Amino acid sequence: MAQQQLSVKSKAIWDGGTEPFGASYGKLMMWFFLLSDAFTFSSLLLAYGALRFSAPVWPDPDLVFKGVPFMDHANLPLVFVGIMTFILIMSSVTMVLAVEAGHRGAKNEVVKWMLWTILGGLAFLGCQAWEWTHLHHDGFWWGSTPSAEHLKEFFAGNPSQDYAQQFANLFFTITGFHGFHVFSGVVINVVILINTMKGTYERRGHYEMVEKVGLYWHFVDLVWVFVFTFFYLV
Amino acid sequence: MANAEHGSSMDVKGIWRVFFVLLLITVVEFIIALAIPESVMPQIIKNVIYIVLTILKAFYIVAYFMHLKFERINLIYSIIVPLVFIIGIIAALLYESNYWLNIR
Amino acid sequence: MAHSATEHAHGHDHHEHHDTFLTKYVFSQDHKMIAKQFLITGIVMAIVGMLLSLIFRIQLAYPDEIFPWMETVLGKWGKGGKLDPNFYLGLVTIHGTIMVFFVLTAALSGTFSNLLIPLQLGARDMASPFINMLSYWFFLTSSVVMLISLFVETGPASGGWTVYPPLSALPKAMPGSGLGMTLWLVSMTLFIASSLMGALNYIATILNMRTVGMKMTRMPLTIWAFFCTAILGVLSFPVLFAAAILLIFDRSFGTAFYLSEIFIGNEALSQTGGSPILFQHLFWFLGHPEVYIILMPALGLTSEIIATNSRKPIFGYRAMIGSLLGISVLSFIVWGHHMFITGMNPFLGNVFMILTLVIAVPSAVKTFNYLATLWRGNLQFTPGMLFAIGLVSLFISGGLTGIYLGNAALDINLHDTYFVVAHFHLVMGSAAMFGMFAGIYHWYPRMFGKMMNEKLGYLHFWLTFAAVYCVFFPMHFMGLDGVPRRYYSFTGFEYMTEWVNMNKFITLSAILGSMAQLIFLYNFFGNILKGKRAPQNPWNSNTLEWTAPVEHLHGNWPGDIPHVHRWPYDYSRPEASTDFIPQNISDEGLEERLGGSKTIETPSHQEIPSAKSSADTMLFSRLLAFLSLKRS
Repeated sequence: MAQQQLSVKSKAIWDGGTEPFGASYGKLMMWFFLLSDAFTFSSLLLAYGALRFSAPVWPDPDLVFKGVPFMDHANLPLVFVGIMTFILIMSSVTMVLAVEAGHRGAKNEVVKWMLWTILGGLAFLGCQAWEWTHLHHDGFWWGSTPSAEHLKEFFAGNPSQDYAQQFANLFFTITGFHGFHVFSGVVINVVILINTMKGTYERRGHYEMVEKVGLYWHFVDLVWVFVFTFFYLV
Repeated sequence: MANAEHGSSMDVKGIWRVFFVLLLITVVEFIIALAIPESVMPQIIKNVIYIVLTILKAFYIVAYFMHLKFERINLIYSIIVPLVFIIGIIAALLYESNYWLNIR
Repeated sequence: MAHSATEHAHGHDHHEHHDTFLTKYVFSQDHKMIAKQFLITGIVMAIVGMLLSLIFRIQLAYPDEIFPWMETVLGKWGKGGKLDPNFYLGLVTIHGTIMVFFVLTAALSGTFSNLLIPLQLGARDMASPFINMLSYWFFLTSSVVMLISLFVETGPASGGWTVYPPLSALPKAMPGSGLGMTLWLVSMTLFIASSLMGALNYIATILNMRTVGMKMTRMPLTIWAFFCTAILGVLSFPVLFAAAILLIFDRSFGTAFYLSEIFIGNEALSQTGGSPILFQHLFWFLGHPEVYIILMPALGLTSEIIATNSRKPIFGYRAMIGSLLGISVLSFIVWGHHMFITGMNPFLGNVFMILTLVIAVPSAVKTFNYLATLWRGNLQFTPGMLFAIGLVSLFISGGLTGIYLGNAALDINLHDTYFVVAHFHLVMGSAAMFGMFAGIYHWYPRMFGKMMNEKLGYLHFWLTFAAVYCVFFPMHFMGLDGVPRRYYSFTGFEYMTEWVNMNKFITLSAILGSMAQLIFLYNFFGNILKGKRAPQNPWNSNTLEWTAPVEHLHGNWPGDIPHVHRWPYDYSRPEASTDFIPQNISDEGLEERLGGSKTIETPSHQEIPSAKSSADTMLFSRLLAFLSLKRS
């Protein structure tokens, strides 16, 4: 109805009694929450950027992230993180498919795609756990770095204990905060899946809840794109 | 209710097309990172390309997956315009951290 | 997409009428009740903040005296009748935190956004009443945690309300950096969640739930102010959240985001490579918008009160909106002016200085618009109006010193002196507090359905007004003399001893000012039950909240929601029979009110040349009248 009014008289959308953005309050709140969360992540990445720029040396990502599961002592930089990125983008696609199915009111398809999304989220978390374990095995952790002789392996130039430490701190904090978002996303997805299976949204007549949670899930994917670039590539 | 507005914008085929674009961008990033040596393309240029490609990926995710491209222009502006402030603090802090390095 | 408002109305019809005490007063989802909850929690927090300030004021005035009651009240922190220096720092910190965040951020915008947004926009309730309730409960929890931190063995957080590292990042740095600081961070995290939920709700409600005819340019300026405030909150608090996360890691997980080259007892700390200035950047990226989060709701309330009680349209409605938006945008790009002498890049200092001075423009627009609205108005000096005018006065006298402090070169002398204390207490603290008082006096009939006592209101105003200037004005001179803030005692330095007498004067004024608040508390709480019943529209105001019944209904209006036909400032229209035309009166309705003829007129003063002198004498006699508290 709001859409029809729009086509008749475009100014009327601000006249009150309408939804000027063509979006329900819930969707607006989700969007503005994500905007707010974008500021949180930006601040964290900014802190990372500022600390890295002010550091004379920094570990070389190609030398730090080169392990792959089940392949001991592999020297394949970026391969594993490539798999992680692929998984997260895949799960974003299945989420869009769930939303699309929701628009058609196809309950079973929504359930199917939500399941795939949850699976993708769990797979990503598993990969991240492996990545953390691997780095921890190398000696990186909050407040600890590899010993001085091993440290050379991770630097292209002169190694530095202090900045290896900064790298580890920032990596674990920021990917940890992102992982926490993925985890809460998975939990919310499970709740939505249960509601879908119970038919709550079918009775409500629309699957807007799936759409809202979808927004959150894509946002988590979006953040990963930036984390990936700034930790693994640059 | 919302179907009329959203139905036409993204079909299944469109979704997969966006997926392949994202995949392609990521593959290009990997090629730059792994196959092109430092002597051909200095790290600074690589970094610029990475950031441009990342923003491109972000655009595809936000515009198509998050459906922002098909929302009303008001909503688009109210999400995009505040990001200017982030650019502001990025500019300030890059300048600032360079200064920290110089006095360190 | 049918009117969401009507959907809402149906929703309420189904689950009403079964309010228990718990659902009505405690876990209420009604925006009016949540507003009252915010207000009363805020008043309690304000009393605590005020008492803390009195204790350290007494210390500053009588640094060498022994007060046996100090030990009785404070226990080990007042051993031997002398205030413990560490606790002094804790008092200053918690006073700042409580006043800035809990009173002037949460209680001010929490109370009036919740009360006025649905009522003035013509909505049944907030967009999401449940999230609104959660917002209050997170706020209450964070208040309780903050108060608990006062009772911690090692004392509350004491590094100043800005919690700069390394004092806040190293738990061993000072007694308050231990558990007290941890509780501070926990409390602030809850607070950020509360403020985020509140702000999202306000934005969604303002955008989606305006009644038919309520265009954005027909919204009262209060709503515009709450709208801008909520946007600032959504965009700036997450940055503090990120800063707090990194701070927590520095404290507990051995990281060094904010720590570099620290020596404890000649021994270098292993944590190094970070930058304390990074924290300041992140903190002030929140901190500066936060100043406007505090001030803008007060300015919005003032706009409405001044227009209503001048019986004139607000001068420059669109300029007022423009200046609100201008202040909002500028507030995000000036944070560096808090950091001129921290070792920030001096070139950035220049940039921030120029941007800071630009803020004077929208602020001046607001000030002049207030004055122009008052100019030759038919002024009704209600207590709310007095406080609103008081806000304008404080805003000017505090704002002028902002121009000095925004100057990077002058700031070298003035930074961290009492000049700064005077500046922000006037422009942000007292001005916002006056806005809050103005709002309470003006909307008390709407909140509780009762009237407050006017005479006590006048007494409260004049005592508070005098006390505020007596307390903060002398501080300018101390600051220019180089007296630093946060010092425990001024007797240890030769050049500061001459200020001890001034400190006694300030402290006595502060005590007097606090006594005046007792009058307010009596007036406020006493009249909730005993007050005179409020008429429908006590101030003859135009906005929609006065069309709702005095008794509170869940859903605000018993029948249909009124539609809006005009802007909210139709006061003293020459063609109208009354000097106000509520927003819900249509042009046809107006003719009906006139009995079909348009000839009946209430002339406004601008129309008749001879009205000037009579208006001026009237103003003068009225001023005299309530200097002697005898208003006709």
